[in-house]
Amino acid sequence: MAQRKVLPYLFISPFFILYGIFGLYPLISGMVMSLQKKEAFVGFSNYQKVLTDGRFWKAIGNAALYTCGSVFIILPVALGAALMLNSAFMGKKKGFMSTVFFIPNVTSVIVAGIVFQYILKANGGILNEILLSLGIIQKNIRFLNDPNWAVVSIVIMGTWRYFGVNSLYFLSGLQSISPDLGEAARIDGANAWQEFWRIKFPLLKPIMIYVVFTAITGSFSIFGEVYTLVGAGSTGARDSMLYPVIYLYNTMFRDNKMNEAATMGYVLAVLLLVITSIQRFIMRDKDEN
Amino acid sequence: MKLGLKRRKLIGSILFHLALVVITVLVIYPFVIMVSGAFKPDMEMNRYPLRVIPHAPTLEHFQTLFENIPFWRQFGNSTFVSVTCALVAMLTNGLVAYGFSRFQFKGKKVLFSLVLATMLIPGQVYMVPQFKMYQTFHFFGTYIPLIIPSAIGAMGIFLVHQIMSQVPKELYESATIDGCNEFRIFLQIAVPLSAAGIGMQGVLTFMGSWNDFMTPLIYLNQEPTYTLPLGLMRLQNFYKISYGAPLAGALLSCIPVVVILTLVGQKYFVNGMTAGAIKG
Repeated sequence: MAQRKVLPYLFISPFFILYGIFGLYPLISGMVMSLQKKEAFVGFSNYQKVLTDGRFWKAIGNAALYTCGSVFIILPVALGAALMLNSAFMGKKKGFMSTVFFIPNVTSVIVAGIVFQYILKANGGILNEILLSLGIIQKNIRFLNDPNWAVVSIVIMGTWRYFGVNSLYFLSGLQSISPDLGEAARIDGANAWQEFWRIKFPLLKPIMIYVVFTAITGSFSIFGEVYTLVGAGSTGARDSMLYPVIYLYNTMFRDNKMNEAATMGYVLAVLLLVITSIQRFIMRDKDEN
Repeated sequence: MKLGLKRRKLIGSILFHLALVVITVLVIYPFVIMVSGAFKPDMEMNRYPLRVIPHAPTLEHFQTLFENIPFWRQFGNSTFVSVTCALVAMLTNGLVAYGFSRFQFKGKKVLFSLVLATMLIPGQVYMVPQFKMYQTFHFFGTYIPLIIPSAIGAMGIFLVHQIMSQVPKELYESATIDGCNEFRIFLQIAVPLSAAGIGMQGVLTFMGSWNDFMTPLIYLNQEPTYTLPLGLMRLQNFYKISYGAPLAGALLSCIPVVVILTLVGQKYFVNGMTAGAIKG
């Protein structure tokens, strides 16, 4: 009988043991590192350094801009794609089309980086060639080197890579909405537009909260996409391709400032927790209160 | 009236399919570029970047690829790491999910919430201290730092738990009465009955590991031990001017993903992907 009492803990122990060693311990030692310099306690001076570092805030700013792109461009595209997948016109193609939309997400980031570099480069890049031949632009756009276009390039690549997986999340939400609701609204004289905004959109809220959450955390964690798109070590013209994790990585491996990098990790994590808490507060169910 | 409705439906259908074609082309186009670029001679690539089918297809980029990086070695490394990650994830997710779904025990709710809470912690905070720890353990340059994360993925535990909870309790009880020990019940009842979920988790972990770029970048320092994404990155940095060889490598590195998507089946895969979103 005593054995039966221990047994459940035995089964769940792998997670707690491994997380204790490889998750919790670094979490604590990282905190300690952020308060030290060369093994000596220095209080909050690392935090002061990070928080007054202009490049750190530049990186945060870039990430914030990209987050806006994710939430206001990538997610609406994803929602549109989900509505298409869920539409009656889709018929039997649904499974196949969702796979097509999903493929970019399971493509290696290095593959995406190589291909999009080839698409976006200034000289002979495919997008420039297309825009030139259509007469939309007269002069090549330096997508990857012009600070004004840097975030646009990342959003273009991000849309390609992430709209599909998000549209699958939205689709699972749309599928759980009973078609009777839409029918009832139609009978009451609602058009398709009203049906979407008044019925489907509010019912998608739980999914929306999750998807926006992953969009925010994902955007702030962006690394591989930028690293491969602009080339190792580059942060773009006027730091326009400097993103938080890239900065953290460079501080850690190029400048060898471990304590400062650990501090940055903590500041970023706290910042993200604050932002996502605000997000959940804004998107909370107001009727419940 | 009836005809009008029919006609409107037809126009709607045409517009819908037009939009669908445009989106599909945009999604597929980068892959078309990849395939086309892998076989296009350098000269054509610069002169006619928009031409999809090369005039004089060539295999020279594959040759360059194999001559400059130990491609198949790195392909093998990636396979080894990804398969190991998938197995580790399936084993630990299965065991932990079984513990939580099969038994009632003290502190269960709190412990399960703790598992889920780890998902909320932004990953950046682990980067530096984990690196330092692996260095002290002399794990730097090995595959261990690449494999460990798949053992502590809370999302996987959550998903497998969702599916295992649906196994009827009576099955467990009758097996216990028949004198099976818990580990056998786990292996012979719980695992087969939630094979779809566990398998899905394995596939997702495999793909995540196959495509992982940052972890190998941090922990691997010797070209023969590189995984494929790292090898390709080095190649890309060498050949700033020519895209042929990197595109050829990119093409070959997509093969396992394509094979898996075909084998596992689209519907099954897509459903497994979204199962976690509803409650997440």
